[in-house]
Amino acid sequence: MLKLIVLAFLIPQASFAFILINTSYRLAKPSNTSFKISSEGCTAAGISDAILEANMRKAMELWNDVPESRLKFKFGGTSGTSVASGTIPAGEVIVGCEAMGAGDSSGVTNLDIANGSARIRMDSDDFSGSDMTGFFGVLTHELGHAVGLTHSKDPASVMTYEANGWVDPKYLSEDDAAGVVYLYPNKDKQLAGLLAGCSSYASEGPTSPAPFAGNLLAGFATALAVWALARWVARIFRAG
Amino acid sequence: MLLLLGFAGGRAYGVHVTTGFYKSLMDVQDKNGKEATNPLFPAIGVGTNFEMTSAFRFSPQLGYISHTVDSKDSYGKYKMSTIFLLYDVLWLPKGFTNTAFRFGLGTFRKSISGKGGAVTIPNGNSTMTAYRPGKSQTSYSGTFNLGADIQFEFLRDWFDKFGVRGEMFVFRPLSKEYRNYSFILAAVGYF
Repeated sequence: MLKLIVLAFLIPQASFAFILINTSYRLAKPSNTSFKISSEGCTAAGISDAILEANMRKAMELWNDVPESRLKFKFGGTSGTSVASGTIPAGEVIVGCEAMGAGDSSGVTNLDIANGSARIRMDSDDFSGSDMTGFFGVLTHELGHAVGLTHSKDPASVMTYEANGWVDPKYLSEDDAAGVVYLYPNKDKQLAGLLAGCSSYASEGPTSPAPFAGNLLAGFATALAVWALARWVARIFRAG
Repeated sequence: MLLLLGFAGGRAYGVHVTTGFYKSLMDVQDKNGKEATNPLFPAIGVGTNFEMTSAFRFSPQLGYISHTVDSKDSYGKYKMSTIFLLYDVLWLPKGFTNTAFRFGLGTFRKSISGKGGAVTIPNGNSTMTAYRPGKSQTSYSGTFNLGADIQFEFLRDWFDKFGVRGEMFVFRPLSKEYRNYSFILAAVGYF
């Protein structure tokens, strides 16, 4: 058993390497990024706002699901900004459709590096209300670009550019999750990091790491409180 | 730390050392889009117990998880490691001579770092320049913990007691939507 554990420390497990689209790009409000339908949406391609929203919500869920990251998209309704605009309001990612020619990229993401925002253009020559095959997969991939990741060699990754056995992703890959933690690590200042587990964040902005010692002290105090509560409950049961 | 130890008061019950494996239960997919299993990563830990009542001990533990990843592509690699600190309460229920249950809170500190540099990658019908992670990033996460220690009497010439520990960690415990789980299964030596 002991030999097995020592070996496990020495032998690395094969993995893939996430890579970044730009070293300085980050979403401006990572824990409260508004994911919006552009002013034109995809109605010209026959895709209703309701169908587009359903796909956006599914894509958001995948990227929101990394426990050690503070990345959090929220559906923000319809934006007044066109997907053709070069300037996207800070903290927003907008999506809309545009004719880009069949056979080329099915989706393109443009980053607004100064504002920490992005626009996703889905190709209306490739998708329509009657043919949504692969739409969700492309949207999830493009949202990964808006996060700041670029193509991966991992065929399991939603950012992959390699041959793979899926059209629409079910989950992120391990590599995608590591990339999200790298770009948007949790920097919890709350009690032992627990309160940030809530879906709501009170503040955004500079992310100075919480003093680890402070976290430990807070955690210790909480553990004592839990212990006191347990004793109190035990007493009530005994008295009963 | 001294302050914490002073706070704990009570009698310390030696040191316990753990060696085992850590596994995240976060859903990930494989290359076929099917649900995949996360790898087992080796983990070590050290802790002690402080008497609080006859049935409860405060059982803090410091540990290290080695995410031994090695890239098999040409894009480069990153290093990942986790240090965790658990503030558990150990409950020794009457009638259970070899089993103790533990619950409490934890802080997980995960670091990811890369060597940096640029790579050329395919993009549409052409290529583009992309960048490897070039600095160290640290993530702090809080957990709720729940687990058990089961002690065995053999190997007493090595340890006072020897046993196994299983402990589950709940990440984002207050978020019903994004709650995630991981666990450690380890051998424990009580010195």
